[in-house]
Amino acid sequence: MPIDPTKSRQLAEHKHDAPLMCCVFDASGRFVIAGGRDRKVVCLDVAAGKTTTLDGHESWTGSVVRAGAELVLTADYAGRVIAWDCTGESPKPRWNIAAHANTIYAMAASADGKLFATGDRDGTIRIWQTNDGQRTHEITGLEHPVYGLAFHPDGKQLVSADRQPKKPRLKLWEFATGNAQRSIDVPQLSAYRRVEDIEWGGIRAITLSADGNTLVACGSNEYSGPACALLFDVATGELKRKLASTLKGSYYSAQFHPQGFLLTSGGDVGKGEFRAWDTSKDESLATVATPGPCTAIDIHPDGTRCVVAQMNGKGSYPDAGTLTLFEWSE
Amino acid sequence: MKSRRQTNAVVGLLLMAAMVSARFAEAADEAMPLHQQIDELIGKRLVELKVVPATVSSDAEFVRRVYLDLTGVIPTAKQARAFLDDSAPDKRQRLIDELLASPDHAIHMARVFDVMLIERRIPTITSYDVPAQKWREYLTGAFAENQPWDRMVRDVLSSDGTDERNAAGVKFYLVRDVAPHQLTRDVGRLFLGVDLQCAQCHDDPRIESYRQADYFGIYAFLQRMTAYRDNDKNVSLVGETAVGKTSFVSVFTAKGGETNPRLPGGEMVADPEVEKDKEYVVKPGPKERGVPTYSRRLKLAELLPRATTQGFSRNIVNRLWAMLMGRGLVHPLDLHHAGNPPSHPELLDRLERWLVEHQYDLRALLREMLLSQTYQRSSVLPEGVKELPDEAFAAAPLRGLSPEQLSWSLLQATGRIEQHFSQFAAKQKSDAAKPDDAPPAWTARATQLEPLERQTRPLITVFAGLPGQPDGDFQPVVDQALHLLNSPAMLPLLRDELSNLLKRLTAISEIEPLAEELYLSVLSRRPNADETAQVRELMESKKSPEERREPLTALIWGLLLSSEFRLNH
Amino acid sequence: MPQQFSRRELLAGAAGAIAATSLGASLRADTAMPSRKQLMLLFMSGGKSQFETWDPKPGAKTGGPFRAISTSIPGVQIGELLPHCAKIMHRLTVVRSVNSGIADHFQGHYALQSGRIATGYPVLGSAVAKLLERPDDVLPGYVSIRRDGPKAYTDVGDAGFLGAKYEGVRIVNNQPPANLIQPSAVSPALAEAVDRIRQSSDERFRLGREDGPIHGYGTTFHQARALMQRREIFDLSKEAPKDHERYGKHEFGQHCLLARRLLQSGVSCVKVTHFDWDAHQDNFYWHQIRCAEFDRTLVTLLDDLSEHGMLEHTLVVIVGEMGRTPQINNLGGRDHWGRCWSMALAGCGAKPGVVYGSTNDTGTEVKDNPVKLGDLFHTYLRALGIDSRMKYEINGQTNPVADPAAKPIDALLA
Repeated sequence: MPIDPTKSRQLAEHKHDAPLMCCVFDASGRFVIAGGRDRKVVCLDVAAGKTTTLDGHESWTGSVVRAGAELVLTADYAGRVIAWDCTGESPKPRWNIAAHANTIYAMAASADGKLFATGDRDGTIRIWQTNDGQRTHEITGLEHPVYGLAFHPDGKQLVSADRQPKKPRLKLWEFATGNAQRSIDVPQLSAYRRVEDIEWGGIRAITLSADGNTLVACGSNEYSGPACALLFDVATGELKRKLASTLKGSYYSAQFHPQGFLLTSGGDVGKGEFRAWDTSKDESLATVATPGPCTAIDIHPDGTRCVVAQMNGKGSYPDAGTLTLFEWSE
Repeated sequence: MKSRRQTNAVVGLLLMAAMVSARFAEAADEAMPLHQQIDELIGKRLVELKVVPATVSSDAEFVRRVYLDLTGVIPTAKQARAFLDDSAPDKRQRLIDELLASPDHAIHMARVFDVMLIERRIPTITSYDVPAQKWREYLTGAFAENQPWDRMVRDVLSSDGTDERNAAGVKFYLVRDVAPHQLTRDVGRLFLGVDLQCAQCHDDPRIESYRQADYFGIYAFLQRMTAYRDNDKNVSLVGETAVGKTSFVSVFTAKGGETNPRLPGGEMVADPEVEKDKEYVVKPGPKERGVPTYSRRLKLAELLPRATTQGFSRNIVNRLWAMLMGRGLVHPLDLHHAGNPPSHPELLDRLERWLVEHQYDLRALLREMLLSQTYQRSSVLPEGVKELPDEAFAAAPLRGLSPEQLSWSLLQATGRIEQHFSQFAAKQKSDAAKPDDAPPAWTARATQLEPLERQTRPLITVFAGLPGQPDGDFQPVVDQALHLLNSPAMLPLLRDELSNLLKRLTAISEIEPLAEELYLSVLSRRPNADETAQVRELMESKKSPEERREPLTALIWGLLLSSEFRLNH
Repeated sequence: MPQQFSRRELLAGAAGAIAATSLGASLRADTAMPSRKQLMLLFMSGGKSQFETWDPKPGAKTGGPFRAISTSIPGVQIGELLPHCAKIMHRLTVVRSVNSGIADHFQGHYALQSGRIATGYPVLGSAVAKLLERPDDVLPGYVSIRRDGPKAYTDVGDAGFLGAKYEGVRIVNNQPPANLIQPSAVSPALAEAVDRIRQSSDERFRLGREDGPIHGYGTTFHQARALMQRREIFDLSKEAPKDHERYGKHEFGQHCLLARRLLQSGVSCVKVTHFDWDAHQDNFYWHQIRCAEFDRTLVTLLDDLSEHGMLEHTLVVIVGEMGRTPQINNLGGRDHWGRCWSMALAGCGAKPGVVYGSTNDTGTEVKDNPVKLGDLFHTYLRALGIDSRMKYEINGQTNPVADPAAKPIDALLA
């Protein structure tokens, strides 16, 4: 039963006492697992409408991903990854690895869920087996923080997004060999400041369409915005379209709906939004405004609902978070 | 840092003192020309100090000094020679009058007052400024017209950058980022001769008479100012709000106060009643420069430049005196207070009244100072004397050339200025003259000097002091010496086609005329026998132009590095 | 590498070159001089976060993602980004209770270096260069090392009313000062003749005149010759590869290595600016990067100074213009903060192993022993054996060297 992306309503809202940075449904859609600026992972039992917290991380949890039918993985700023088994009444840790020596900024799982990839502060990318947390491959040499990772549906290629100063890059890797197949500079998402010689921008998130042909890069359009998502043709590396928000800020997350439309989420100081886009048009299909910046969005496996994570607080200092569930109608 | 010189008693002192004391028994007669009054009052103090002054300067000392002081550059060899060879008894007075009337004098005064008022500051956002050239032209015009000082100050303080007549004056505010605390301090220092800085935090424990309230009294005039940037027109202006009270708390006593605008020693200036909602001519906004109905800043511009304002006349008199005599009657120039009295209170008072009586005519005041014996003394100390107290004005002080004087003098000595003007004159002849719509002389002169002005800038950068600090006493530093020794710019300055001294000297084969041309060009005097002998020793066996090039370069360069060149003496 | 140079040995090269001058003569007479006290200021430009360094609040809402680690002082923890410092904590002196009240780069850069809010005073390097100056010094008293980059708030006036002589000689990207080498077009014979003519001219000019300015000017040429002779003090290639390696092959490491070389050569104050702590965005990323540089280089530097016998007479000051906000902003940054933050000292005159002052559980307020910026300035001077109640007498103006409303902190002094 197809849904209409322009018709959405808020189902539920759950507060957390720290700003949230990432969220994902488990494969069954029973739980939402979310992480943010504290050491506790949030677990929302969707049906019960209750949240609990999961212990295990000693730092902030910046990334979460659904891997296969059973597991949700969380990764933290200290480089640790924990696999949560979501098949029971509540998520239980299955394994726990020190994956990197420093902050993990990005994580992605393959389409079949058998592999996952992590990317860290120094530009190191590692590929792991989901079932036991054993490392299978490593890609080095990016030398800048990896902010986004996405597996190609072919199961052989991986896309990385980084924060190289002035020219953030998208790189398409054959991960078995560690060879870069293609590199696309994305200066549009740079916010390089000459005075400090610092890159403030970078590609903050990426996602691939189900057919693997379209790559979406999220961020802020140069230093002063607006938040935007750039669509690239994976085969040619060509920039096909720029989807720009009316918000200054940045887009932090994007995901394709199985029906083919794209969802983006992001925000600025004290406000946020998520939007639905027909990727063949410059104008968005629908916008939902939120009180705080939307740091992440995830679509329920059945395609009828989505969850967004927010950071909330006074002015530019968020001190709390919200998980909000939305439902689309026909 | 200069050490305080000791007073030395010398033979003959008493005799000398007896001679002069009879003359100075009475206070200076105000009917006398001012320059004579100056000498009387300085002389009176010399007697008290039991100091015998230096003799009158030689013509060579005088000509170099007066050119430097009035035009900011040493004379050419030709100018020096003409003066030295002139036997008329009134030649010094004639030269003073000639130089005071020259466009070069107005241009020099503009340079001096630019440095004095701006102190080589640049705003935090460099481009939010009045271009240096526009500001200089503005000052040069004012000095060329010999505008009265009170008017000049009023024009600067009242400028908001919008009125073409005094638009450049807003630079005073812009280079200080329109920051009220900085402006308060500098209005006090530069226009009233008092530095209230320490009073910013508390009553200055050192200087009792500087009350914190004085500081905040000036601050209240300025605190409502705002910087305004019009990006469309690419200009920076100042605006003002109609609100803002001034209160302060002493960090020592934690006692506070509130004040309205007030000049030191003056009455509080109450804001006039303005009807509600009529506070503004233009209400300040993101795209609007605020213009209040009643402007405290314009009130300051109106009240400050007046004879009745404590320190206003005294400050400028003291600054001009220091410009010619090497130090102020109050010294440092911005530190007039009870604990730092003037060296010659009566003279300072007399000069101040004279200037007021003469409607703030700066040029006339300079003329009187220049005509005084006090100005025209030699820098050679009396026989047997090693040092004299600075504050006695008993001998011409050894003053470092300002960065501007030094840079221009390097161009003059090496013949660049002459060469530039000879090329210019050749070109001028071919152009048809248009006497009808000719601009004022100073404008033409400034335009002609522009290419040279550009050449001085890199040198000035090397020799200039710190932004925001007055140039102060002569304080040579090692990187300047390194520049003069090793900069890749030095050899070309001495040798390239734009300079003509080396060429001129190469063409003179006789030793004596050669030595004379060298010394007149660089040191504005004729050489003595030792110096001629040194030139002979170096040059005698050198006949071909190729052979002569190196020793001639050494002679020019060596003299340019000498203290005699580096100092105004 | 010799264990320790005496000043006399250091200057022997220069003295040889100018032995004929009075300056050279006085250098040779310079015996039995005690080791000069020296200063090294490591300035954390932009404002380092106290939470990620000296004053961690793990688990607090303001604490950020990082952990606290134990140090060589029992019971004292610092941020996990400083593992090397943690091991030598007993050699450091840390203040956790600075309240400067300044949350602005321009003002902070000036005030934290000059110990004052009011403008026009000399910064620490200039002040100490002046206060520790010896009459026969040929090297500049204060050298400031920084990377290239557009002029920003880091270039505040240095010497204030002390004047250009005490302005820091600026070394940008480890390039020596300008004009240290005679141009090749100038033959030695020409240079020698120029100097002879200059000197004989001065000899004639000084007859009957006040000698001060003439002597002062002549001295700058002697100093210039001495610096030209000794320009290798700026040449880092003379340092062993292993030192390049252990100091770290990043700007900060290399700049610290040059700083050590200059101190060793007899320059009394060296400032090294460590840039880019101004993390309004991605604070935790930038602090990982900057702290990694800082942590290893600082410990290397202290070890190295110690090995060379220099630490006991060299005060190392580690401070920035402010701290960073307890609150973390929406971009993962921390903003400007002056109310309570941390700094550190080591070496000459500082009492090792002291952690002074503290902040509340969320790091939003000083809990005890508040320290003002004026107090720090007094403390630095005292650590260097300078009476901080002294006054400058400059151009007829008297000025206290340190803010009379502040005082040294005895607990920090050895």
